[in-house]
Amino acid sequence: MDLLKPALLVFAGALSGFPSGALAAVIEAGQGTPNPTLGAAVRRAQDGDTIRLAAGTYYECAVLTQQDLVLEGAGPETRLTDATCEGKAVLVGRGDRLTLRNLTLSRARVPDHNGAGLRSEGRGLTLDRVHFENNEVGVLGGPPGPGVILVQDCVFERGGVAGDQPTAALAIGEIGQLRVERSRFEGVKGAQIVSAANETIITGSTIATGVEDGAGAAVQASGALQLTESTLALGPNPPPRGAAIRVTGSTVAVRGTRLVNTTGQQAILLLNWGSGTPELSGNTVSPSDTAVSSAGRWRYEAGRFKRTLSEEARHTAGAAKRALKGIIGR
Amino acid sequence: MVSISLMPRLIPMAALGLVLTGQASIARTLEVGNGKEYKLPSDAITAAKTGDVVQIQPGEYFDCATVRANRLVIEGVGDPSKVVITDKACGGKGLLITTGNDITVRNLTLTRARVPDNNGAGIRGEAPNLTVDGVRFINNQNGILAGSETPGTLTVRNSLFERNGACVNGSGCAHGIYAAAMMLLHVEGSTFIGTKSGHHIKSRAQRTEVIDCTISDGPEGTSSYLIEAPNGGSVIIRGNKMEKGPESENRSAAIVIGAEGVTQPTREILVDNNVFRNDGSGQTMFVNNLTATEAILTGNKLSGPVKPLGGDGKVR
Repeated sequence: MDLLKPALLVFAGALSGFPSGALAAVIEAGQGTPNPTLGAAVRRAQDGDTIRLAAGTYYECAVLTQQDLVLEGAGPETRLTDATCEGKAVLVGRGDRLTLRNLTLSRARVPDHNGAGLRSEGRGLTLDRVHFENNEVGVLGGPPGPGVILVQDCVFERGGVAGDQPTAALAIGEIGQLRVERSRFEGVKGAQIVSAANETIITGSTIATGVEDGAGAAVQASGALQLTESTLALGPNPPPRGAAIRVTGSTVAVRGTRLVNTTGQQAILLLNWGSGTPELSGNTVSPSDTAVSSAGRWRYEAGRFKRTLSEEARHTAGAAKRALKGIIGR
Repeated sequence: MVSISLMPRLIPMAALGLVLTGQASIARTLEVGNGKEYKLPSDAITAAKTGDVVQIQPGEYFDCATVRANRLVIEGVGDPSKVVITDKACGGKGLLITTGNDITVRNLTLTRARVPDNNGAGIRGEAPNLTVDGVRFINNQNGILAGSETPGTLTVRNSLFERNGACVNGSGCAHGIYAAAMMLLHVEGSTFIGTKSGHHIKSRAQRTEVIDCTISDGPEGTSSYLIEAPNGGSVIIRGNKMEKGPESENRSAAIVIGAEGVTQPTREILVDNNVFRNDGSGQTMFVNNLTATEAILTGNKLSGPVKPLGGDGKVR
């Protein structure tokens, strides 16, 4: 029997709000189970189920459409690698409230050069002890809306290259909140965390950037940012403008964070291009480096204004063209 | 010491096994042609037993056959261009369909295979370990279509693939060689010329080796890629002369690895000591690597508008 339906899970399901009467099942997958491939288990899985994937290397990808699905491995040695689905990712998470736990996603490459370990297309995501290794992008996505993405005890290492261009370890769209806790970023060629979430909260993490060619920022956020009790390591290559963190949002707090700079150049802990006054406290920054700077902000604002004008002009021209077509067509 | 002491016991037991199973019978040679015991290749192939040799005299045979016996050798006598099996397709598949293991086909011409599914093959290999040596594949939809998820190998040596290939809307493409997810595709000393629409070589094998071949579109060939390994797998491309022609239907690249998603362990990608020329006007890429395994390009000579490498890897 690979389908276990413990009462505890049913109870948990009732509490967590998935459809009443649904029996959450645990589906064993992998070598020595009735579902030797992840694909076989995914085809059987229903909303709220848990897939337990045994240790092993699987040249497989999957599209996870179920709601409240949990996919958990036996540790980093449960490895999904190389294969990508829909030209997107090793795993495409399309259901809401997906949880991935205790496994490795590696070596995603796609023709568009944005192959991800995980492409997140559902609302709400928990990543717990997931190891992202040598993907073009570690995690890409997060559809606009109120969802929360929680990344805890994860590792992002190597990869981060799209064709010849560096990308990011974690690239998140305009969701409600991104939380990164006790995670490690190391050896990814591009930026590490690029977040357009309304709120980005990073705690207890080590974020190294600047290995090999094509360094990016450790953190780049366009919404509110709270960064606490973390280590940001730069070098040997410096990030753009020497900034470990670059923000364009209005609310920023950086506390208890250490900047380690081995680039040989002056570095900036926080490059603030937002309109607010950042709160910095208890950070460790070498006297030769700068805690906060707003250098280049006006150029950034001018560029943004120009882009807005262009979009407005295009919109107006399009509306006029459609109106004219309507008049002529009558 | 141990192996020596066992030998006297093993030999009599093996001999007894042969007597009991009838495997000691001597392989026969079945001759085909005018004045011979068999008029058509298919007559001899049907009558053949394990380990026999079917020898085909020069002639043009409107014929096809399913090769069921294991370890059968099918060979033309004399000039391979004069021993021609043509036009007819068995089972809606091709001129020769190999369902026996360890078949060898050599020294003959297979031509003009057409089937309604647009994948008519000179040889349709459906069992492990097919060897093709000195065979001329001319104007078939597929030259060789081989391997249905079998663990075996396809070995092609000293053969000619001319004007094979076809792409028909809605039913996919046929190629010079199309190898499914077998253990090994090894192609050596062979010539591919004027392939139409499909790829000269398409391989889903765990390991693909293309050594000392000539692969050329020529002035009229319309092929897509010269070599494609759409699911990854280890790839060794060494010592070939390659040309992408002006009429190629896909100008983006000559060699593409991993374009349909990597499902094979890709332990190494080595592309070395090849000569490649792009005769088209636009730029192409010599190797487009869509796997995470670094492609190592060494000692290749490239001419025409060409970028050496896309994706992970190093050019030396």
